Amino acid sequence: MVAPRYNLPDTLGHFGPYGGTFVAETLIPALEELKEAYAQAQHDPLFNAEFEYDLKHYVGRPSPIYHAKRWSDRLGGAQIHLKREDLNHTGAHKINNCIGQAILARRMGKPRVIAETGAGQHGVATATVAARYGMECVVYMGSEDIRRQAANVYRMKLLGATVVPVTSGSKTLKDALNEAMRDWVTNIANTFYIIGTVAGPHPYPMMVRDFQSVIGREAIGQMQEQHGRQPDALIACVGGGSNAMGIFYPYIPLEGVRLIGVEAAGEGIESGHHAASLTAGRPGVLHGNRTYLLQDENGQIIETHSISAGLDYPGVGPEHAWLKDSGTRRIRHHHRRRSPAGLSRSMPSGRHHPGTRIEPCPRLCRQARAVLAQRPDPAGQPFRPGRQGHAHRRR
Amino acid sequence: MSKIQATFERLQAQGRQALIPFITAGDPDPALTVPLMHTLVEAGADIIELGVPFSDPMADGPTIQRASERALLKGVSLRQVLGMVANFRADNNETPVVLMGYANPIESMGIDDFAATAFDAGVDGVLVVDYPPEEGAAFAHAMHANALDPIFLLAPTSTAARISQVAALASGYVYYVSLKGVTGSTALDVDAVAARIPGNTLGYRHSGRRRLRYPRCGNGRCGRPYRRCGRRRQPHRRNDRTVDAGKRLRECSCLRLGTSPGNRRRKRTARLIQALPLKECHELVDQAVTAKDQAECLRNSPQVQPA
Repeated sequence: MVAPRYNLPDTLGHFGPYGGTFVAETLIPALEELKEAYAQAQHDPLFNAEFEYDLKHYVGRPSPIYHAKRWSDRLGGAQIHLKREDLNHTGAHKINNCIGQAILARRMGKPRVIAETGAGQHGVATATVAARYGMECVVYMGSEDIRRQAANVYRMKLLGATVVPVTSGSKTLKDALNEAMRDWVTNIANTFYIIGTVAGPHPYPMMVRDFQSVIGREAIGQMQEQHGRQPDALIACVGGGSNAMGIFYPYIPLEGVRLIGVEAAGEGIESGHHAASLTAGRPGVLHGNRTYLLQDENGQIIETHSISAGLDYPGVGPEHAWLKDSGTRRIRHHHRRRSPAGLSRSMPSGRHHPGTRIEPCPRLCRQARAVLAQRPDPAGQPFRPGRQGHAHRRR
Repeated sequence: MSKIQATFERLQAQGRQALIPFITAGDPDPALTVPLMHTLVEAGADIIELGVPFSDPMADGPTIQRASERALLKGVSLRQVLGMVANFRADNNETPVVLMGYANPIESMGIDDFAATAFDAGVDGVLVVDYPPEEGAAFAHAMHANALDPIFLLAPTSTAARISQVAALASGYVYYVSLKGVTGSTALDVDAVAARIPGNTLGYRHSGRRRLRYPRCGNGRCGRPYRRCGRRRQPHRRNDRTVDAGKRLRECSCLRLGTSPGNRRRKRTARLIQALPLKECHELVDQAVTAKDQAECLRNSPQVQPA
């Protein structure tokens, strides 16, 4: 165990200099109400029992850990294990968090939920959960993303959600977030805002991390049970960073495990067309928290570029910013360029590995290439990247 | 005594209320901002709120977002806005100027650097929308150290504890957000505002009035400044003419101003609006929209990827 104990954020939502509550006064009452409701729910056995019941019987948890044996052989060293979050209901880790927040919304007596979405995966998860609990659901999505991710828009509509196109700014995730915030401030009385990642004003980064940390808790148990030991390293992609925080957080006290985050470098960091906020950004304030941001020299937020719509966000969760800065040497954030060739070379896809039949996704591709960059371990010790949702495979 | 405080005291002695129009710096064209500021003063503005454009104005409605986008398209930066204030000060050393914007451009410049430069430029107060009191202490101290007034927001829902927090940090005036939602929203509930006027409700009567000794200004339809200077007054319900003024301005979409109802204030606002070169603004807005469309066409056109 590490000493001193890791117990961030503080009561005002700060992870060192990051996080916090940078919102207009009009949103403060809503955040106070949420903070109070979550503080009560967090320690309420009834709430936790309902959350766990739905994770098990609705989401289909625990998700398996799968040993990608042939891929490991091909890489010639490290043993790769995949945490199969893609096998969750709706096909991604996003639903873990949506279930938690929707149950909280119901406890708070809010009949309407809103969400922002980029790739559409969080929108689909929110729409699904809203349908399950009989809530009205409005999803804000950049008009550019609506065009790119038509299939997910169709799924959301099928589930009874209203999808509102956002045409301001860059017409992508960050603008959808702005618009959802505006809806929330206007309809505070009856509306719960389900943020999809570990960003936003306190208590969202903490709350989403807590709901997602089921991934890491399961992994610790499963690795112990299947292999009698923990992996040497965890690898997860970082956009906003909810899947990565979900698997990293329970591992923070386990000192022997390296935690590696991989960001989308788009056409390369030097090209300026990327989404690598931790690698190439600098600290600033956006969407209610202080964190690493991609911004120009005047502090205006710049547009991001990634082959994966889910990683196309100019910020990153404040806890990642803190982990990067905190000097914890075993936590590293890498960046990887997009490369279709790299994808087919390194992926455990059906085409190259008829036996595995896992569909490639750009997010996993990034993680895979990070694995390839690691020195193969002659002892054949297990690496275990978190396997992400397959929402992006069509691109 | 700060220029803002002096203005309010002068107005109070005259039994007048302050008229505080807002324009976004650099919209529809950077060259127009300083002349617009002078026009506003000539037409009766007591204080000018100058919006600093930001790429993600979360707390503003579509009108101000579009104004910011047009200004950014012309490359307007925080330093340039400070330059505009300095230019304005060359001819006007009396009218207080308050910058209104978001935290990131200021943090990007550095809070201390910003405070010093803003003081040199002749800025009097700064309102940062996404600095609530719990995150704004360092900012407020830097402002005070440079003889600038940090302006904070209060909402109808603010508790007594928060009012005290704001009162401990704020100076100049306090911006009372009189409607739910974003700026320019039409969802202004006059009765609800009336019920929440400081001094009119339990919470404020027992706590706020004593702790909050600064003038309070507020926004409303089209950002209607609502100010109270000691005396209690209900907002007037019949505000048709104000609405008309609001509509005219929304068409222009680069300005956010208006007045709280009451004949004299209505007349002052109408006079102020008539003095503005609205036709010229409209033309520039149209040009900006066309330029933006062109820029987008260029961006979306297929590009040859290097092999």
